[in-house]
Amino acid sequence: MSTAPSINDSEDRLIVAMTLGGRHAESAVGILFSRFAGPFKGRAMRRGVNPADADDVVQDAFVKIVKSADGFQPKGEGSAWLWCVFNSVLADAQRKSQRAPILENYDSVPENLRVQADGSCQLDFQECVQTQMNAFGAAWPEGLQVIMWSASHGMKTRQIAEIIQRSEGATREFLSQVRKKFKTFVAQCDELLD
Amino acid sequence: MPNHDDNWFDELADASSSNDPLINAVRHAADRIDPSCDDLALARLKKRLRGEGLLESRAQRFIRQYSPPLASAAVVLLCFSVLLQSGLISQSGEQTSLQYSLEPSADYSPAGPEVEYFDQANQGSEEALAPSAELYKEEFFAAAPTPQAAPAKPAALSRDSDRADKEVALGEALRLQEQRSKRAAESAYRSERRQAAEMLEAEESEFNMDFADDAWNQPEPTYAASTEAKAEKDHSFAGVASSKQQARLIVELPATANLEAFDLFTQTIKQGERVVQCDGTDSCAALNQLLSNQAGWLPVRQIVQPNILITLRLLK
Repeated sequence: MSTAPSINDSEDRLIVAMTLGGRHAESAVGILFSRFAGPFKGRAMRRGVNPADADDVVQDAFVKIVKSADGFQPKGEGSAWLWCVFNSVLADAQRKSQRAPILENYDSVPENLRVQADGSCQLDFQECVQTQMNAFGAAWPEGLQVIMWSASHGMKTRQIAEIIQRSEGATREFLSQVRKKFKTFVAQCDELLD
Repeated sequence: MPNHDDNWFDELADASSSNDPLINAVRHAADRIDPSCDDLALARLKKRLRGEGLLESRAQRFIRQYSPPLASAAVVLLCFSVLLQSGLISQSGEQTSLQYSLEPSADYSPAGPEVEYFDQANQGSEEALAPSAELYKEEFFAAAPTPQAAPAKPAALSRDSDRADKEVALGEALRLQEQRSKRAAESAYRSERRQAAEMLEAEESEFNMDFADDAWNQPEPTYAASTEAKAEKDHSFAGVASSKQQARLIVELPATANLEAFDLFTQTIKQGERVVQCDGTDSCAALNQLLSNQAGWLPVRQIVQPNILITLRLLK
C-alpha cells in the first residue's frame, strides 16, 4: 500500500490504508466518509435518531472504524465490516440515550406493518417507488435497510448475513419476506408504468 | 410488475443494468433516500481524528509514544559521556572506589593484602605483591586456575572477562574477609574464655598447690612425674616447670587460726604466713592433723605426702 488511496479503491484497501496513518489514512477516511456517512446517517435516522445526534453517531462510528482498522482482515468484505462497526456504535448510542427502542427484527415481518396511503400526486413510477420506499422504511427500518445494502452497496446475501449476524439460510428467508412485503408497498406504483 | 423471485436481491445487488424497472427504480431511489455526505461533518471528523492522534503516521506515533523515555535515556547518556570525558568516571576510578570500599581497618591486616592483590592483579603487576598477598593469592586460588593460567582472550572479550573475574574475585575476597572476621571474633571469644578458665584454675591451683622452681629436696620420682605432666598439660606454667620442682601447698587459714601451733614444722616465717614441710610420714600426718583441726576442710590427700612445701597464710 505505497500508493495513495483513490476514490475507486475497494473498502478493503481503504481500510488498510487507514492503518498506515499520515496522508494515506486521511485520504482513506475522506473517501470512506463520502461513501458511508450518508447511508450511516440515514440508517440512524430511520432507527429514530434525530439528525443532529445522527451526525454524532456517524462521527463516533468513523472514529471507532479508524481505531479498529488494525484488526481488520482484508478478504473482500470491507463494506460489511464497516456496517458492523456502525451498527455496534448505533446500538450503543441508542442504549445510552434510551430515546428509541432497539428493535432489530431481522427474523420476521412486523405484525402491524401496513401500507401507508400517500395522498400526494405521483408523477411517475420512479417518484412513486421512492415514496413507497420511504414509507416502507418508516414502517420497517430493517426491511428497507437490507434493500439499501443490496441496492446501494451491492451486497449479496452472504454479506448481509454477516452484517445482521444470521445464518445465510435465515437471511435468505428474511430477504424473501422483505421482498414480498416491499412488493405490497410498491404495488400501487404499477399503474404508473408505461 | 415483473416477477420477483428468490434471486431478486441478488439481481438488485448486481452492478450490471437490469431490465426490471422496479430494480432500476429502487437503485435510483436508494441513492436518494440517504442524506448526502456533509463536508462540514468530514472536517469535524478529521479534526477529531487528528486531535486523538489517529491520523499520525507510524513513525510519528512511535516518536510520540516513546519520545519521553528516549529523551530520558538520551539525557542520561549525555550526562554519562560528559562525566566520562571529564575523568570523574573511568575504569581506574571504578577500581579506586572499590579499593576504598574495601579499605581494611587498622586492626585487621589480612584485608589489606587481599585488596592489594586484586587491584594489582587486574592491572597486571603482580610482581609488586607483598608476601602476605601472595599467601592470600595461594589461598584463594588453591583449587582454581590462577589468572595467568587462564587462556588468552581477544582484547574486547578479555576486558569483559577481566571485569567479570574481578567481580568474582572481589566477591570471594569479601567472603573470605567476612569469614576471617568471624573466625577472629570466635578466636577472641575462645581466648577470653580460656583466659577466664585459666584464671579460675590458677586461683584454685594457687589455693591448692603451687608449682615453683625450688632447690629443695628432689621429689620422689612418681610425684615429680605427675608434677611435670601437669606442668606440660597446663601451658601457663610451661616456662617455669622443671625437674626440680617442689610441690608447694598454700593453705589459707582463718584469721583466728593459731599459727604458733605449727612451730614444729616452721621452716620460714614471713609476714602473715609460715612455710612448713613434712619430711616423713609421721610428721606429715601430724601436720595434717593440725591443719584439719585448724581449717577443717584441707585436702588431706595432698599434704600427707612428704616433701610438700606448705605455706600457711593467715587471712586478714
